[in-house]
Amino acid sequence: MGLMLLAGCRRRGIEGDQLIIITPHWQGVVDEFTAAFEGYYLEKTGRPITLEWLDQGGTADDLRYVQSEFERSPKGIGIDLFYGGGIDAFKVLHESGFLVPFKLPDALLEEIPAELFGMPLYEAGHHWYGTAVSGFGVMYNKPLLERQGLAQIGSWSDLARPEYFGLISAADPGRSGTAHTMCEIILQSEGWEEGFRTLVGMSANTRKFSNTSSQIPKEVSSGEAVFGLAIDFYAYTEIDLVGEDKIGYVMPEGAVVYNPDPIGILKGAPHREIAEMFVEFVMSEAGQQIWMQRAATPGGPLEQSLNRASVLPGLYEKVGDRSVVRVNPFELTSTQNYDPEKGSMRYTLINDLIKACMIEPHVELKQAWQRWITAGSDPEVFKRFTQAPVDEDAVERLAERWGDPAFRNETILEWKQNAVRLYRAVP
Amino acid sequence: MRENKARARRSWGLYATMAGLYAFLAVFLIWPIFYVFHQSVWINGRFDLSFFRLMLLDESLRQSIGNSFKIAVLVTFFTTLISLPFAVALARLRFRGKSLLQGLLLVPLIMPPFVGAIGLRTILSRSGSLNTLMVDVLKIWSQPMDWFEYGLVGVVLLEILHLYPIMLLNLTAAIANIDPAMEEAASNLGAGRWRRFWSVTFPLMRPGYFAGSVIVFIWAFTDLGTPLMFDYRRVVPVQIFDRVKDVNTNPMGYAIVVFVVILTAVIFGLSRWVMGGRHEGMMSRGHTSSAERAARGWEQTLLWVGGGLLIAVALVPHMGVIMSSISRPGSWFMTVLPQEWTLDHYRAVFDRPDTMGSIQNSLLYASLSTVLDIVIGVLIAWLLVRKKVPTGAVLDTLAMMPLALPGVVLAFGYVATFAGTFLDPRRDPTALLVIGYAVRRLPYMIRSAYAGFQQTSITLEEASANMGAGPFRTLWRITLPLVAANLLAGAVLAFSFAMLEVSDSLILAMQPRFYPIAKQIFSLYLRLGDGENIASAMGMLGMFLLTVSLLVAAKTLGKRMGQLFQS
Repeated sequence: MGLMLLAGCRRRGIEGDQLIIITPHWQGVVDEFTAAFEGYYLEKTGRPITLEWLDQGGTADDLRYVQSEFERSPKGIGIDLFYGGGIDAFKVLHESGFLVPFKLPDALLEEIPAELFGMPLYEAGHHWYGTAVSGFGVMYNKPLLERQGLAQIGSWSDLARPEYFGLISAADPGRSGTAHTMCEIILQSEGWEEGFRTLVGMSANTRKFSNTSSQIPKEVSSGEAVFGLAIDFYAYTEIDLVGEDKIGYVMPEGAVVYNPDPIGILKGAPHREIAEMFVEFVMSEAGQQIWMQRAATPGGPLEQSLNRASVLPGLYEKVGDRSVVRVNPFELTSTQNYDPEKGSMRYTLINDLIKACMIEPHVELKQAWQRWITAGSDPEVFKRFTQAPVDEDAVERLAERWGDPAFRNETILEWKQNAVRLYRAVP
Repeated sequence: MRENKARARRSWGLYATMAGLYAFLAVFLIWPIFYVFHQSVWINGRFDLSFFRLMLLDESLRQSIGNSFKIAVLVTFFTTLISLPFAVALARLRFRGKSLLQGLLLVPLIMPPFVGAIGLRTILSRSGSLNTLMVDVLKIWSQPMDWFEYGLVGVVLLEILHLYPIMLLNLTAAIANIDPAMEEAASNLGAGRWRRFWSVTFPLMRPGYFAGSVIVFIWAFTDLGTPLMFDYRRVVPVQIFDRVKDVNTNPMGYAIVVFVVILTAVIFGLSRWVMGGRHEGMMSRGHTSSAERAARGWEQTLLWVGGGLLIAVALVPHMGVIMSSISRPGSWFMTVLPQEWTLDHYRAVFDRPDTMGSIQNSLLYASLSTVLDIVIGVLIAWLLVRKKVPTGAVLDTLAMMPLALPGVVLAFGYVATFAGTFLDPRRDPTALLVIGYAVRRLPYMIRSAYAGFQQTSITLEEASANMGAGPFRTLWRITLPLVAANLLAGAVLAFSFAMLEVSDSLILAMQPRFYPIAKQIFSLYLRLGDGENIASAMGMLGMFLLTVSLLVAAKTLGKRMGQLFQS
């Protein structure tokens, strides 16, 4: 009985100032920003604050939850902020009208570049701001790589190498924002034709498609896969955990793409001023240091290094070797710029295309791949069954008609049947 | 005159109680199911079966249904295969250490299977303990074995290992209840051992077997936790879970839930029909004197070797969880055992506000739901046994319905039905979690109370009534103390199941502040870093709790423990 009362007392309502945030970020981010903002808020206002974090799963899950809630209650859903999830999720939020604009003070805004290699770092109308940027690459299990005598990955197209059969861990781009961005990167940097071939080969080498990209570091660590497509900070966090001799990370050559991880204030936010304070904090140097610095350094996170690149180019020098960020994105050069407009225009279509050609017929694809490898990996045969069912221009035209569910489902079915036929035809 | 008025007043009390019970069951059992059915066929103001059609057309849903059937069939088949020989042996043979073997075989019941998934993955993964042992250390295999090539394997294996004790309990009870005279008659007529088994024993045992199979089949079909832990999403319960978020924008979830309800109703209906007159599985007559004989030497050896092997395999997930809970993160990288040990994770469980919070939450929910169970369970059992109220059969059926109701169905129903009301789980799931746990454990509580009532003599209560005490006074002061032991056993089990309940917890608790233990474990498991280890530590504590409560219940109920796991 006493235990019950104890339990009850602890939970009865939250008094005082609150902030409610929905986020796909992992617990380390939540813990560190909670601690940092509590201190910041106390300093600024002299009052304590309680942060409440909601997490429905991955980005796609959080997005669907928000959409479902706004459907039920269009004026506001009792949540203040959407934090993290990649630029594509925020495009959807913005287009649906779920975000409200908030202009940062000029002094702060000046420090943030408008874009990085083609990616906007904040929305022109101030509906969202990128709080950190992440690169994409491939993490790998070093002992297994050596033991099996495999070659290192140099470019994205290497993922389609036959010797990697069954050794890759990847997430379903329809469920994971990270996975989707990586597919789009491959398609843009290698060109549509070659990019599609790489995706087919990579899918053939993939064991199974997981739902969230957070499963991938575990699969690589446990040896279920040798390679895993991962966002940079997942890889670095895993490396911090098990050691540099066990896990490695490589960013393939070619187009450099950095995805901003945005934050935005939701319509009908119950604690608007506090939400604005939080956004300001995260975008200020104090907040950015939490992303960038090693744990337990002054100004940095308390317990966990978050391994994320700041959006403030000036901060890198200031922080010096307190930073754990291995690569300064503002010092890189890229062979081409990423086109986020293109990516967003064909977002759903690409998901459907990959699902129809690679994920649903995964069994047939893997069987065809095995046959092809056994028969000597003839490049002509490869060209035949990795042919994209549509070319890039057609994609643009189709994307315009994609809102029609009948047409969409018909086309998807056509693609799938076509793919299965091609795979079955492999000798 | 005064006596008539008093009697009338007593009747009113009884009827009021009945009305209250019916109301409770109507709101929290009937209404959500009805609402789900309604939402699945009433679309845009019209009766419309298109979502059922879409469900069958959608490839991934078709596959999910297929996979769930595969899992359920495989699990039922293998648990039968494993349990049958042991059941026959345990029912018919006498040997030294028999109760020890019996107890050991039941050990897997204490491990919530979805925690076991953590253990199984660490041991069976490509560079996990087993493969590393066999390939690197002992060099017996040249290649690691890929256990999880088919996602099904992990799920099916874990469920078999968790469910075979239930099948075993059912089968043992069924065989023990067979009148040995039948078998004697058969052998007198010249039937050999096999013929006797197939023609006499097995048919007589069938009702008990069906009872066990039904539980196992439905459990395996509707288990949410295990496939979720293996990230194996092409199964019906996970599809339902995924669609809880969409409940306002996409009615497909309703169609799937309706499908599950119809399926379970059909299976239960079939089983009742096959089992014939056996009434609701209530406390069956005590078993007749058994036809036990002393076990021969080779039979004993076989039993112990087989049993030992089974227990060893069944404990693999437990071993994995134990090791994960004490290994230093990062030190168990492609080695058989973790290289460094630490108690940090157990410390973390008690230090961190989120884990301690979830334990406190579960304590609150489980206590409240157990109290609710006791009150409602006793009242229903009392009304049915002692008071023989009218419409008793209806009340009985309603109250037993949760046995056939998978957790995901009820949870989904609650989320949908109570959205926007003061019970909305998005705001505060406490009420619905408590009620959900209580409703699902109610049949067991009623059984315990029922058993207690049947055991105590009615004359004591009659004496009390003769002396002028009203029905409720008699209940409180005479009856309850007499059945206290049974109630305690039932309450202890209800409490521990509620503490570690998985389906309702995963679906209803949407904010970390309200997470019960199961959801906290799941959330920890998904994290990078030491989340998995802390989840294992919590799982171990859960195991400990469950063990203690099963022991307490076993002591109090004695041989009748097995009854609690029958359908």
